[in-house]
Amino acid sequence: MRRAPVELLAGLAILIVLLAVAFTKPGAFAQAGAIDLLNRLSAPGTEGRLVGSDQLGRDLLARIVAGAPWSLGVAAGATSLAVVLGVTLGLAAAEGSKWTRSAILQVANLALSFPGLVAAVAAVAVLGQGAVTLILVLGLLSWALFARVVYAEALAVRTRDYVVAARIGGVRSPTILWRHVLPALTPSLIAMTVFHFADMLVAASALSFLGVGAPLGAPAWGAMLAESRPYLYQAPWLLAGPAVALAATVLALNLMGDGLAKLLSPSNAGRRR
Amino acid sequence: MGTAVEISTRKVLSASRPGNGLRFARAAGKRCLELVLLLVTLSTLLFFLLRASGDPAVTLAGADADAETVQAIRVAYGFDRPLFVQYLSYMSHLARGDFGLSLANSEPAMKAVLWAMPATVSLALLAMLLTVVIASPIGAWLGAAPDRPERRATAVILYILQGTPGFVVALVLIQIFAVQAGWLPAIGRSGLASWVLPTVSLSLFLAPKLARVLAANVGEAFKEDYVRTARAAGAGEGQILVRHVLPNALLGSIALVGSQFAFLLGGVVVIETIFAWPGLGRLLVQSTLSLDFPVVQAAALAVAVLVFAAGMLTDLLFLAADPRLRTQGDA
Amino acid sequence: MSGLTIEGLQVSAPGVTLVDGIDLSIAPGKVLGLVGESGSGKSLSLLSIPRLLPTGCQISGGSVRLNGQDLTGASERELRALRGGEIGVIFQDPFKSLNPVRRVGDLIAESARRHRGLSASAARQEAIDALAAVGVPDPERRARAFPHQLSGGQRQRALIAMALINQPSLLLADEPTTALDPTVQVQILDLIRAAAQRAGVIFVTHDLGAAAYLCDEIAVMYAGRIVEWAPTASLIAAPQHPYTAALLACTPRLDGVRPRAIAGNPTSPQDRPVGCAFRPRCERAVSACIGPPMLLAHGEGLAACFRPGPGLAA
Repeated sequence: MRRAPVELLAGLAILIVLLAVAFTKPGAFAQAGAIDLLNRLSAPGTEGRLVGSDQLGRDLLARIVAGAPWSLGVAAGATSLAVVLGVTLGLAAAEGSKWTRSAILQVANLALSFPGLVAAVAAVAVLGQGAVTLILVLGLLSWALFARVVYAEALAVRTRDYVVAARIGGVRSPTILWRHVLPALTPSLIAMTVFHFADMLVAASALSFLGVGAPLGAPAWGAMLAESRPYLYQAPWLLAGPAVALAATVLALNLMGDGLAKLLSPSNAGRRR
Repeated sequence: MGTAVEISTRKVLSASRPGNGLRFARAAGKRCLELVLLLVTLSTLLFFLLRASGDPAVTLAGADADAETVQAIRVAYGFDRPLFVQYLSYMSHLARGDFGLSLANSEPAMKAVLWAMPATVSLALLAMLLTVVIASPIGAWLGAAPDRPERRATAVILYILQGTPGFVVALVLIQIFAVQAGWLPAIGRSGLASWVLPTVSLSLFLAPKLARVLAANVGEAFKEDYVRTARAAGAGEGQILVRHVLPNALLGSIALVGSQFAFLLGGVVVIETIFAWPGLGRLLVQSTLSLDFPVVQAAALAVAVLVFAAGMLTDLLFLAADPRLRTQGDA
Repeated sequence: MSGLTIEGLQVSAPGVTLVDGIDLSIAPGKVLGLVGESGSGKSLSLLSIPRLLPTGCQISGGSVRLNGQDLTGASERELRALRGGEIGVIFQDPFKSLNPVRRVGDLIAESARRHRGLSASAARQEAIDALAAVGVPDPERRARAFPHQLSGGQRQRALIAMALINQPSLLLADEPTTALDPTVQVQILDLIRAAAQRAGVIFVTHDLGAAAYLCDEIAVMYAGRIVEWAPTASLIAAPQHPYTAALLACTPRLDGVRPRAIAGNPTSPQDRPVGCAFRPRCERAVSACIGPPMLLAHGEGLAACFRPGPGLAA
């Protein structure tokens, strides 16, 4: 049994801590919306509120916990969309005709240079605020990152001996892709997915910070960061709470991504422990 | 995040092998064509997308305008014409460099963009400079002896810093230095002090990654045979670091610096918003949220051009810095 | 007292002895070949002289003296003054041994400036002269060139120039011709022989033919020890140690005589047999061979064997 890299363990440890904190607030979703104007901006520790309360008296920790599924859900959805689209189109570009390849790469270029904010605002205007809108926008703008990597690696794998042998043996293209090319890409894809998830989380937070995508009053972390700005002097915990949550989650994800990359990379396969 | 730089860099590099001059000109020309294609597609998409995202006439007229006023505005701005006609007129104007007038203040849209560009570019340059200045010594120090305890601890700190989103860093810095301590202004671009927080926020976000990449390059370079040669010729570790290892390590980091610079030019919307920095990012946010189409289009295209320029600059830097590309090999 | 003397040199890595007590000496004007298979410890022995051992390896015993100066106990600073100065080193792979972003002339000049305090322009001229001395055509242009613009043979010449520019009294060459074409190899070997006029040369190689061509004396190493040390002619004609004889017999020849492989496999440093390391593969082994091996005088040289003699050769 290969020993797990320390990064993976550290990342998992952080995640577990975060989850444990979340579980101290089983009623988070209800409490997140509970306005209590008598206790607005109370410091951490008062009135049994671990992280204090915000400008409307809502329990900050409850809001952070309640905000997690929203932010994480958007990130997960966007990542899934990006991976599915990116891998499919990347493989298509590698295997397809010159026209297909050129077309896909041009579209990829376009997707990457399209201004994210503009796309998000336009999408929100057309589809309304909400997680689904953001998922679509983020996914549709970032699949190209996967496509390019998959394209490059698929090209390289195609020239490897066992693939050439399969092709000569008459195996059809889709089978080759599925049985030979994809498994060779999987290790790096997994790590990349984790990193991408972290990036999507940050992007979703940035958008909700600017007020795009998150429904009004929703406890999205980015929106909470934006709301904290007028009260920075009296209530610094309004900033610290969501900031730590976001940074810790991203850190955990980065660690896990690095750990997975180490664990799955071929150079590890032969190591004796 | 400016990663189109890397693919295009590879293309230019492979075009600049033996057969230089003409091949390079052709590759550059090809990329300019790509840029034009990109700009055309971008502006087309923007056109339709923006039109779909709301009725500008309504926005302009205001919340409680009556239908007549809205219609009048619509006619005045030409929003009542068929979409396709509007598009053709728009594209033909674009081809002549006319981006139309801002819906907010009736000034030429390009004027607002040109007015905002220096702020973004200067911030990007300064932040990039600071990033390189911070990251180089740290990266060299880390890479030279990565296993010592204090360097491991530094590597951990860098790791955490790199993962923290840029705008979170900015907010925390504002909290500490502007709000609580009152030393530095948090908003605007007036006076020397107001440059500090935005630049430092961006650098603190980008420097860790550059430092880590540099450290990795330094570590790798130390294992190379030419370091063994230098040692056998009597060079001390310090001389080896400065004269042999760092030039190679920095060369290997140019790609990252290029993509970071492209990111600075095109992606610091949130930072500019936080600091109310009068640059392209903030212009983009304001114009997008207020549906000021001409300005949005002008700003988005300007950003695309800037990012492309950053890419070309990186390619040139590669060519200039790596002797293997500058000259042809005989071997 | 000039020349190099090595006594009882031991080099080890954690838990394993790689070089197990060797004695060598060389005087200026002579070329000594150090021959053996991979893993015999020949490169490590060579590199321990200027203490350029790879990480993890260190000198664990014995002494090295150059021109009367003790090297094993010397400080890093003292050694740095010698490396590139009194001691010149040439390595195996010329393709990666030159810094790709520096000009060749600058690299050579750097060594001259460091050891002799020359001015930049004087050093530059010296570098050009050094390149000319090693037979590089158009040395001024080559000095301004970058390594990738030179052929493999030219790069190795440049490295030799770097090693010789400060008139060393000891030249260490670690398989300098292995990576080069055969036609170029002879030219490089001739260069090294020319350098031997002023310096003592130790030439490490696994190529007996190259050693025979270049060296005045040859020391054969097996499993971290010297098993035979003799003048070249007598070693080739009348090898005393069974391993030497076997090496000669298994060298491919051009005259039609078929080579004979040596039975068994080379031992790894971790599980060396007690006594003579060659015993398990030796046709002449007897019970006495389990005892500690000693270099004894046989014929014109020394051999670590109780039953010396040509035996298996030809």
